[in-house]
Order: sequence, then C-alpha cells, then structure tokens
Amino acid sequence: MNIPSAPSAHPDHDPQDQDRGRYGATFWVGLALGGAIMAFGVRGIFDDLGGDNPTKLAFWVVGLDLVHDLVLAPALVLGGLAVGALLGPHLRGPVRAALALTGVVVLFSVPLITAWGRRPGNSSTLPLNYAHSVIVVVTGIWLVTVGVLLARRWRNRTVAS
Amino acid sequence: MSIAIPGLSHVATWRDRTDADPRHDERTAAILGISLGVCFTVCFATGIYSHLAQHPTSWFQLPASPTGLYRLTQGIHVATGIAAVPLLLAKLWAVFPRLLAWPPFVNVAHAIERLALLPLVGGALFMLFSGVANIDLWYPFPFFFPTAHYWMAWITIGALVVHIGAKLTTTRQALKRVTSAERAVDPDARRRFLTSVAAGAGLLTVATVGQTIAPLQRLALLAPRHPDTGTQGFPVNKTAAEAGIATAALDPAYRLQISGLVATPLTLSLDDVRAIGLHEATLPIACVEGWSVSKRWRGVRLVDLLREAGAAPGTEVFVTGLEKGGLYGQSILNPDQARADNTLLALEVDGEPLALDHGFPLRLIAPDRPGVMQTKWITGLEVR
Repeated sequence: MNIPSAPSAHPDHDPQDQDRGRYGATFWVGLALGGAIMAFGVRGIFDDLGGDNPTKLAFWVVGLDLVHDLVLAPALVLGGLAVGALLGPHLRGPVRAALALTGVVVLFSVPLITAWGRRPGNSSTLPLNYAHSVIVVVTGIWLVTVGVLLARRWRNRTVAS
Repeated sequence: MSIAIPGLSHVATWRDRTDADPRHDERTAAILGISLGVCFTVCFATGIYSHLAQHPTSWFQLPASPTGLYRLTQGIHVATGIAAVPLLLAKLWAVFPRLLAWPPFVNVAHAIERLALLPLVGGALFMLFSGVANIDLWYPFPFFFPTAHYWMAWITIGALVVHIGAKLTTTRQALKRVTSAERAVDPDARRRFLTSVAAGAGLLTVATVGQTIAPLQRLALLAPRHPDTGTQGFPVNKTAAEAGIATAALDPAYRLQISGLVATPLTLSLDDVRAIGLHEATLPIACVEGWSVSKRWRGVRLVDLLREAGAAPGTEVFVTGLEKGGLYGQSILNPDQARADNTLLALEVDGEPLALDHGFPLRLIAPDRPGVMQTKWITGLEVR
C-alpha cells in the first residue's frame, strides 16, 4: 500500500478544534465514575498486595507502557518503513501484515518456547515442542501471504487482459 | 498543523504520511477501541465471577448448576484475553502517531484525558502480559499474581470508563463519516488492516482454545495445556511431590474426619467411605488458567456423608486436604454446592482408581467451581 504524503487534514492536528464540544458532561461523568473505580482499585492494591509491592506493580505497569512506546511501537514503525523502502507497492501490504502477525505469534510464544513455567515432574505443564509449533504457525502465515499475493497477481492479470 | 521539531524532520514526514493514512484515523481507532472495549468488559465480568468463586461473599453464592458455568466463563475469560493481544497492539499502533501530538495538551481536561491514558495503556498491557504469563505458569513479577491481576483490572476498567467518556462523541462521529483522506488515498487500506488484525486475533484463538474445547485440541499448537495430556489422561495443576503429601496420602492409617455442626462427628477409613455407597457424576475440571476437561468421576456423595454425620441444614462445608502452607489446600462449599447430588468425594476417574497426583485417596469434585477449589488429598470436612 502506498500512502503518499499529504497536507494535514487530521483532526488530531488541531487540538483546539478537536476539543471543541468534546469535554462536555459525558467526559466529566466518565471521569467521576472512572476515577472512583480507579481509586477503588488503588486502595485494593495498597490493602491487599502488601509491603512495597504496590511500588513494584507501578514499576511493571509504567515499565510495560515505556517498553511499548519506546521499543515495540518504534520498531514496528521502522519495520514498516523498511518494508516500504525495500519492496514494491504490491508487496508492501501483505508483507507488512505477515511480519506483524509473525511478530505477534513469536511475542506471544516466548514463554512457551523458553518453557520458563514448565515444572519438573509434571508432564502436563507446557507439554508441546513450542518452537516447532511456532515454525508451523509462522509457515502457515507466510504460505497464506504468498497465496494472497499470487491471487492478487492473477486477478490483476485477468482484469488487465 | 504539522509537527516541525528541529532535528526531527523525518518524524514530521512520518506524521504527515500517517495523517493521510486511514489506518491511523479516528474511524480505525474507534473500531479497534470498541472491539477492545468489548473484550476488556467481557474479561472484567468473567474475571469478577472467577474472583467471587474463589472469594465467596455473604451476598453472592456460586450456584450448583449449570455444572459447567465456571468452565464456560473462565474459558471465555482466557480466550478473550488472548484474542485481545493483537487487538491491543493494533490499536496502540493505530494511535501511536498521536503520542507525538504537539502541544501535549491544550487545557486541563485534555491533560486529564491524556494522563488517564497511562493507567489505561499500562493497565491493559499489564493485564494481558500477566494473564498470558499466568496461563504459561511463568511468574516474573515479585507480587502475588491473582491479587495484582484483580486490582489492576479495576484500575484498567476505571481508566477505560474515563476514556469512553472522553471519546464517546469522537467515536460516534468517526463511525458516521468516511474521511476525505480515506476516499482520496486508499479506500481499502482500513479494511485490509482490520482484516489482518482480525486474522491475528482469530489465529491466536484457534491456536489456544483447544485447551478447553476438545474438538479443537489438534489445532491447539500454542496452548499451554492439553486436556488429554497428563497423569490418567488429563492435566495436573500440582503434583503430589510438589505438594509434599505423597507419604501421608499413602499411609494405611489415612482417615477422613467430619466435624463441626454435626450430630455425630465421624472418623472414616476408605473402606468406611466406600460402604456408604458410591455414585457417578460427569463433571468438568475447569482451571483458572483456562484449560478444562470433562471426566467421569465415581465417589461418595457429600450429601450422604453429611446425612451420616447429621449435619445441620443450610450449613457450609470447609474442606481441608493434606497440602499445607498454600492457599489451595482447603476450600469452602456453600450450602447449595455441598448438598448438590453430583458433589462427590471422588475415589475413581474414568473407571480407574484416582492417581496420587489427582488427589488419592479422596478429592472433591463439585459442579461450577474453579479447579483450584476442587481440593485434593482430603482429610477433613468441617460443617460450619
């Protein structure tokens, strides 16, 4: 997919315009209700988690946010730009989608492949060879991608002729 | 307004490109946001049900039927959480350019809205990360998973309510109109993007849901448990060796004690238990980690034991096992579940004597309960 540069027409680019009429009663009601629910959760954490665990939990929550914003998302953007620079317009979309799906499957499978949670003496925990599983799933993703590309090529040729 | 930060001209170029990209516009964000909102609401509701199942209250008692209700709700909880992984990553990618919006806020309300994104995004990432880690039996965090997962769910849902309040009007408008950018550039871009996201959610679901839906087990390549794998053909959560009870469970001096609000406290050998009469029931073991399997159990009905001991009506039963020191060596049966005809202290499963890892000599198997509350290696029943 080729997305050309264009003058900004994005509503987010003018926060004043974006905000006009936006922070009405719905926002403040949502804030009051949501804020109360969040306060209930924060109190529960301090009451139940014990010791300095609330701080450690906050570290995890903020840390995951930062890992996403500073590592994962930029890597995805750069990967998308690299595919755009390296491949022709017809290949970009399907290859980007296949790469993203591959990334999600691999990310999801890290604890499975490493078997960090497998318990010695308990054969029912993480019972499969997950590296093999991931290879099968990822191969399936790329076979479908090749199929989509071939189908598009065939369709374009049919339309052209 | 375009971003013009000195030294970051490539960012500005990327932002301009994303401005014209329907995959990054309000409509895409709205569609993904609604999908995620539904997923998180389903996870929250089923999670609360699981919490109440494990922490009974005076105002809510788990019903004894339908027998597979917990199996259904927890299966949905885990499957929906897994499906939400690609949805969340796609949503964050779609709105990522807005992270760089400048100025970061224009008024107090806008600042509050953006500040509430921290518990929303961080909370959502934590909920899915910790949930996936839990089903994989991996605990990299120093705090107790169920407590952190439960309370963070409230914070995440609260932040979601704030976000819905802030975005309701925008979402409504975005779903009504087709942007000029979309019409001008690539009308199919959003459809293809959302199709890929749906494919990702579907793929992870199909690759894992076989851990609870038996016919799909062959496709469950990424499932942390398989319903037919383990001692006696189904999974074990904690083995006898892990619980440190093997010697005591095999001791010929083993006895079951029934005490509390009863006319006649009883101390029974296994033969005494058998003499009361054995019955069969087909009931699921449904683990909080999302795997489940239905089995044919044979054992003594708890209601028969309570009758033998002359238990007071309407009382609950506190079940204790040999496992010491953990949270799951005991459980409580509410009056309905304690007197259900299919609540058994099982001695056999699928026609075989119960294996040590599955709770020999006696394990509780009752309808509509989390697996961790199907107490194994039972030694005591206290009527309360």
